[in-house]
Amino acid sequence: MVCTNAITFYNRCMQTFDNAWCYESVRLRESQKPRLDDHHANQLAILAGPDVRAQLLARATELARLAGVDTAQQTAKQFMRVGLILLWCVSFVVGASAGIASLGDATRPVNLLWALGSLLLVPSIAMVVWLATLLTRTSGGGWIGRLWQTVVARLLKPGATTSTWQAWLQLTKDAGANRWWFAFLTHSMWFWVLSGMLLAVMVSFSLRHFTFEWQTTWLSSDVFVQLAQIVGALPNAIGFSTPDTEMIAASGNAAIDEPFVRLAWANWLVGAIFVFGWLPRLILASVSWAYLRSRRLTYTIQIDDAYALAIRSKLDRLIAYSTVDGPAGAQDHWQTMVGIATDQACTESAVLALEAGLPAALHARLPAESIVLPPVDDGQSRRDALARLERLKPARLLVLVDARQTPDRGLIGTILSMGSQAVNTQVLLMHSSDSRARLGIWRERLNGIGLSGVNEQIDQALAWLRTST
Amino acid sequence: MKASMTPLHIAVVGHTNTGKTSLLRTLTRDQDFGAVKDAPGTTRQVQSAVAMLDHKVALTWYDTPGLEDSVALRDWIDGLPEQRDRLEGADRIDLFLADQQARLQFEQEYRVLAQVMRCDALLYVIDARDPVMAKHRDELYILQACARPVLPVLNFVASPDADIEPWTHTFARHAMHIYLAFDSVSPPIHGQQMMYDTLGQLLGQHRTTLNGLAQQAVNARRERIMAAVGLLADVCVEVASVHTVSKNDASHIEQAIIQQQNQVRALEEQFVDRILTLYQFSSQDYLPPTQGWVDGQWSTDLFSARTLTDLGIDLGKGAAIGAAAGAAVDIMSAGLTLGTGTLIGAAAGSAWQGVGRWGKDLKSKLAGERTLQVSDNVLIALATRNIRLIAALEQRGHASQTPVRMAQSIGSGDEFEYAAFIASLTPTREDSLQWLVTKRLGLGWRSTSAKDDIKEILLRAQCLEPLCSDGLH
Repeated sequence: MVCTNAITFYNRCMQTFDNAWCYESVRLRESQKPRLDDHHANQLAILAGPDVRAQLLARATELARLAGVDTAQQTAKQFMRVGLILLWCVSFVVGASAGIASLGDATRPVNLLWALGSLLLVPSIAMVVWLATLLTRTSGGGWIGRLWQTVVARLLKPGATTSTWQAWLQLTKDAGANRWWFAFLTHSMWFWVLSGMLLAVMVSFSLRHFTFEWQTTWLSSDVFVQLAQIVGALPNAIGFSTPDTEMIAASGNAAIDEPFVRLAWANWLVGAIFVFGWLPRLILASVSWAYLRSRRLTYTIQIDDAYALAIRSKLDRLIAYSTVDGPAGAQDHWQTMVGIATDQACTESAVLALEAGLPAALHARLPAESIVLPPVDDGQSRRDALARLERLKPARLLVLVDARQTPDRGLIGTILSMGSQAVNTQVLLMHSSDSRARLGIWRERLNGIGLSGVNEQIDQALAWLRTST
Repeated sequence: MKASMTPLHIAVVGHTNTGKTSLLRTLTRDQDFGAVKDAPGTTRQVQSAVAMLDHKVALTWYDTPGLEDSVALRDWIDGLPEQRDRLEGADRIDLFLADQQARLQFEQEYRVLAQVMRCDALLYVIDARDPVMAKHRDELYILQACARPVLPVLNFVASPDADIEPWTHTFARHAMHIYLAFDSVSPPIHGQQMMYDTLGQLLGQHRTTLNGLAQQAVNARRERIMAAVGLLADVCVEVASVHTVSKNDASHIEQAIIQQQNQVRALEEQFVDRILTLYQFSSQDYLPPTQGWVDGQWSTDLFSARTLTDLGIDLGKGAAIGAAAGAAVDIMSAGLTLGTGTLIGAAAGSAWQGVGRWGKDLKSKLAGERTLQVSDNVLIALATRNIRLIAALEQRGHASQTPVRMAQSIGSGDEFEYAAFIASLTPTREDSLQWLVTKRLGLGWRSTSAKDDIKEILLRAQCLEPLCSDGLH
């Protein structure tokens, strides 16, 4: 039940940007020392399976808790939130002041186009520039993005919270949300600036007595009539009443103090700010927010980079537990070789090749009295050789083995049983100079059965065979 | 269909000291599995290792103790008195397993056969350097009696002493016509696939699972190479973006050079660390010291003049690179007199210290500062030796206990397209803002586009070619 809950939980939030952020921060944290103890996190990750992404995120979430990354993340989010609200507040105040300042002190008529220019010119230029960068630059966060990066880089000192911030920057960049972040930031900022203006203008119009005029030195009044009508057309379409041609023409260079003319001009001004300033910014801010959200929601962590692969194999190893069938078997215990008594010997010497061929060169040099037994390899030859040795009872038995072979239990057991039919037994390790010769293990195993006569040289072995009792 | 998805159980058996545990280490890519030693009876119990497919256990391998006295065991089994009916091989094995006395006498063999009888199939591992002997024939006889499909695996076939022909004859005499040559120390590049494909031929009803495992092995290899090359691209971009600002006098420049070199060395060290983790190798004696490798790190200095020669990199004939690099330096250092260049040369000593001079930053120039960057040669050397490291790690079996030789440059010509490589890094090197971010945050700021270009270039490296024959892109 707990397990199912955990899985639903992880599935629900596995795609969110915050989790990816957390993952990225933990990745950065894990590249630093001291290493985090990920034992519990790995167990949780396994429970979150089988989806690899969910596993990686579950592990990161737990490690984030452990390393305090989650609190750093909360702080960072709060910082961003507070920063954003502060920026908006400042923008609002700036906008309001601009709005009040543009209308003047109401003692003189408001210069309509002058006021419109001071309110809308800068925001409009900024918007046009932004739209231009949108069209020309296909990647990157624009100049404001670079500025932002520089600011962050200058402000942040390397430290604990740094990885959280760095992860956020990296992720925003990877998600392609970089420019949309800055778009949202600038548009929302301008939105609040224009809101401030709009409110200030509306409050001023409500509480003070303004008259409006346009002024010119050398332009004809037709220019102003047309301009005012063009500006007023769109606001008019959505319900703002605007002055008619005669009113516009009459307002030239001297204000008319008629209530309906003043109302029409005030509506014209508010409508223009609303339609050409406030509304586009609201739309653009909303669009960037929506885009940002979709980018953030669809962003997924990379599950095939080196970091993720290393974790995945670590988790696989934990799942693919290894079992054993029981305690390890004891090492073999050998009895010590005990030969027959000296007086029981019937023959001088015997030579036996065990799981090896008898080299012709050696055969030719054997003492005449040495009896060469047929090579021993399978069960029948073992039994035959043993039966013959029981009859021969040699004083010296030389067993030839291939040093490249592994001295297994069968070989050692055979040597032991053969040797107990002779007075003395020695072993000749053939091919002892070969790079594959396992001399050390042979000596160790033969010593284990109390056999110390181990030769690596043929001459040595032959000399021993020739010694008479 | 349902039957094919039940987990497979496969026992790995064979004579003692033939490398059964080594084979499993290589197959599971786990160098900590079991114990490996050149001695008989190293493995004393049956140990399992699991292969997962789609997050489910698809196959369990069982590493068994070695058979040490099959001759006596065959005698025991053949010595069973004939009862009412004729005894078949499997009946004899069952009788053996039911006998408590036999259990004491053949402790290891008992465990092996008990496991074999619980498995769907078995791998019979042979040291291909050994001649075929009676004990091997007895082993084959006993294993055949278990009535399970047997896949003989010829281990150590890469050794010059290996002689597989007598073995294949012997297999044929035991009606085993499918076998696999698989060197667990230097495994074939597509080793895991080969294993699963061959098992698929033998175990038709499990073919779905085995094909799935083979495909998974291919994907995993691809993913691994991509991730490794991605890491290398990361480090190349990071190193390329290193800027060291120094006052424009000899002693300061010298200090800055030392500082920068240490920084670059640390970056490479970090990379090697990560790559070893990725490949699940420890940092112990992986490459022989002759290749400049000590304690899991490169010991040959990246900045030494010999490194390029040792790596077989010949930049002399790459006139295009020289011209391009020279042009870049010329343009960037416009305004710098030759005198300053000579000064740096003198400060750096007789050896070229691998620092390019880029006098791009006007502010730095006015403040009497110099910005030093890592030179093309060092970047090329860094990429070359580490792409070869990736190739070597990819081909190394997890059973290897001795250093392997790293592939020297295959064929003639450049390891990868040096000119394109340097060109892709140029924007990164010029971007001092990015470097500022990196420095302030203490961590690398990955430049995605440059990284992707570098990755593409490095994936086409000559040494990766044999590893990517079935396509990476």
